[in-house]
Amino acid sequence: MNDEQIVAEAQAGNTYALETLVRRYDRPMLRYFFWLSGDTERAQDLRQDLFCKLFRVLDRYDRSRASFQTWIYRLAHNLAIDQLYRRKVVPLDSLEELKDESHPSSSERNLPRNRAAGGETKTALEEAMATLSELDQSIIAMKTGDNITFEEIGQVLGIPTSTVKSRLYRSFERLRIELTARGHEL
Amino acid sequence: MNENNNLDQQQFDSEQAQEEWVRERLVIRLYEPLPENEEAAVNAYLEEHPELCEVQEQYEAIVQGLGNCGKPDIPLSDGEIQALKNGMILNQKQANRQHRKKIMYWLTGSAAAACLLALLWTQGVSIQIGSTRLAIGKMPEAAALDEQRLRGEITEEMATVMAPYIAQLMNESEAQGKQIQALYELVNQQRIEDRRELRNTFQELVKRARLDAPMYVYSSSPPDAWEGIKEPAQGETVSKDY
Repeated sequence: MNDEQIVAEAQAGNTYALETLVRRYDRPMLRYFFWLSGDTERAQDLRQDLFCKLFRVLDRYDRSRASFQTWIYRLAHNLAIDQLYRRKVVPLDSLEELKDESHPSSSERNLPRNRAAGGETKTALEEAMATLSELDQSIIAMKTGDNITFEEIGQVLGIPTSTVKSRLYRSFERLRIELTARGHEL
Repeated sequence: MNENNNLDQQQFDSEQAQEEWVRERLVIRLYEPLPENEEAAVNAYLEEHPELCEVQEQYEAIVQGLGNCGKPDIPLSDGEIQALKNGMILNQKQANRQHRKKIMYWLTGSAAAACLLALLWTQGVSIQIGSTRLAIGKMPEAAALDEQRLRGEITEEMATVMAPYIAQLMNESEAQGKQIQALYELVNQQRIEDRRELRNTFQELVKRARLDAPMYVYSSSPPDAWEGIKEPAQGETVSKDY
């Protein structure tokens, strides 16, 4: 069964379908939130909140507008932006562009990844990731965690596919320069 | 291959722009395959600029590093999933309750609206706006009531004001009296709109008849249909079998 079929069952009140859906997106969502928060416990909390929210709004999902994967990632992205950055979120039922600067602003420098850095040992790459804006981190998280297509990432974030590609490239350039500057051999 | 490369070279304003384009493709193709022409152009460029191969390797190392780090593998426990499911069941129950409430409100509202409409239909409402009378609801009844009222007014008017003079005129001029009597009956039989018109004709005839009649029912100044007709003097007998 594909996602849409499972969701249809879950929307009809089938709790087993719901459980299947949760198990299917359990790990990808944890990874996604971890990339954005840089903290395992925070990522677990966000995952829990996401599924709670998912159950509340599952009836609103319309398969004609987007795939379920796109929809749940947008839900996750909005949740992360809201809870980690307290920023304006992308409307779930529209494809409005998410206004975000090309380069991280001073406020964006205060990223949750930096704030949560206390307890966990960070790799050089994770530290370099912290210098990216949340939008760029989201793109990398989705691409690395679940290998979502560029087109779908564009739908999740409300930006053109070409922008997703160019932002990913700029992020890689930034990571490369940061790692080289820190004396890390690539 | 060279053809594609040449084609791409023509699209770029500078060597730097072309290199940027190639570098972007180097990153993109680590995740998704490029279109054939782009792949060929990138490979051709790499052949011409082997120094970029090092950058490509660095990009690959970043992808590998990203894959290795940041992978917490802590699935939700059965208990957590059960709690989520219970939460959803609770949400569904609340939603169903709200849905039932909405249906009840809708049904109550519809019933009230239906009652109001039925009341309007059976009773009818007549609204006077300027000279226009607007009947809402059961129009025939409202209109009938209106017509009945007007008919009563006119009939009363005829009976109290005109009838005595008709009788008097009939006594004095049999021919005109019959004509007036016929017209009077016709007035009563006609529809309200026609009756208004006929009443005017009737008044005209009365006026004419009065001009021909003896002067004691005639008032002085300008003869007018109503004003000219005088009520009979007290004690004067008037026949009512017209």
